Amino acid sequence: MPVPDEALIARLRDPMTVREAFTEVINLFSEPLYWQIRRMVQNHEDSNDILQNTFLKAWGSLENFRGEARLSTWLYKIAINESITFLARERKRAGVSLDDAEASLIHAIEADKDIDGDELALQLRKAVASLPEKQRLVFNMKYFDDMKYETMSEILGTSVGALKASYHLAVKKIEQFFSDRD
Amino acid sequence: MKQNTDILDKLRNTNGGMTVPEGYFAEFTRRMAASLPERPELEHPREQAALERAQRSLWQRVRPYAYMAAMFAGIWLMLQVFTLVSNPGRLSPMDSNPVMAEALGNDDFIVDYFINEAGLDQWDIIDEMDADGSLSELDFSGLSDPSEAWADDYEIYSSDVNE
Repeated sequence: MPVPDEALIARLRDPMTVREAFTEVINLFSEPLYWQIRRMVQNHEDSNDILQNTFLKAWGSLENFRGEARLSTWLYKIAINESITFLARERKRAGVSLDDAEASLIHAIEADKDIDGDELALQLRKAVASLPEKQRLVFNMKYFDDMKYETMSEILGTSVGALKASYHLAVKKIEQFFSDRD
Repeated sequence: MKQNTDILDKLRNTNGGMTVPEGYFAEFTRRMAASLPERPELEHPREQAALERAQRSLWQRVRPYAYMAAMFAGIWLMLQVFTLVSNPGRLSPMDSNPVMAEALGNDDFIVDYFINEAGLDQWDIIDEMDADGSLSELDFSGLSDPSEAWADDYEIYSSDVNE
C-alpha cells in the first residue's frame, strides 16, 4: 500500500494545489485500489466503474478527510464500501440471495476475459469466491496485498483478533477447496 | 494439505491471474483527473464565500432582524397580557359595554341592586355623597324648603331634625 508523504497531504489542504495533489493521489492509489475492487467484483468493467466512483466520492468529500486517519485507509474504506454496495445492488437486480452469491461470482470469473490463462490462479479465484463476503475481504487484503492486521482493523472496523481468526478460517477453507478438487 | 499450502505460497502477492488492458492505469489517471468536477469551495474558498454572500436573497439578509423583531413583539404582547390580568382596572371601562351602560343609566337598576339588594339606606348614600363632596354640589335652590323636600321624599329628615 503506497504511503503519501506529508507534503502531499499539505498540498491537498491548499486551495492552490488541491486539484494537482489529488491527481497525484489518483496516480498513487488507482492500482492498489483497482486490484482490491477487482478481487471483490471479478469483472474489469465493473471494477473500472467502481474505481471511478471511489475517486469521485473522495474528491467530493475531501474536506471530510482531516488527516486523523491515513489517506490510504480512508480511500480503502470508500473503495470497499463501493464494492460491497455494488455487489448488493447486483444481487438485488438479479434476484440472487446472499447464499447464492457464490454461484453468481463464479459465473463472473468464468466470463472474465482479462486473465492470463493461469489455471491454478483461476481455481484460487473460485476458491476465494466461495468464502463469505467478510472472509473474502480479509483474505484478499492479507494474502494478495500483505496488509497489516492493524491497518485492516482500521479499514474494516473489526478487531485484530477477529481478523486473524477470519483469515485463518479462510485459508483452511481454501486448502479444503483444493483438497476436494484433488 | 502440504501441496495446497504450496499452491497458496506460489500465488501469494499476485493478481490472481487477472489482467488489465495495456496502459490502463496511466490512462485511468489521465481520464479521472480530467473528469473531476469543479469544487469552488475547495479550490477557490474565498471567492466562493464572497459569491455566496452576494447571492443571498433579501429575505435571507433581513431574516435575523425579522426574527428579532418578532421576538420583541412577542415579549411586549406577553407583558401587556400580564399587566391586564394583574390590573383589571385597566380593562375596558364598564360604560363601553352596552349592557352595563344601559343598566347604569337606569335609576331602577341602582335602587334595585345597589340600595335594596345591598341593604343600603338613604343615610348611607347621603353620608357617602357628603364624604366625597358631591352633596355640596347639588342645587337645592328650586326647592322652597330643602328640608321639607327631603322629608317628603324620604320621610326621615324632618323626624331627625325635630329630635
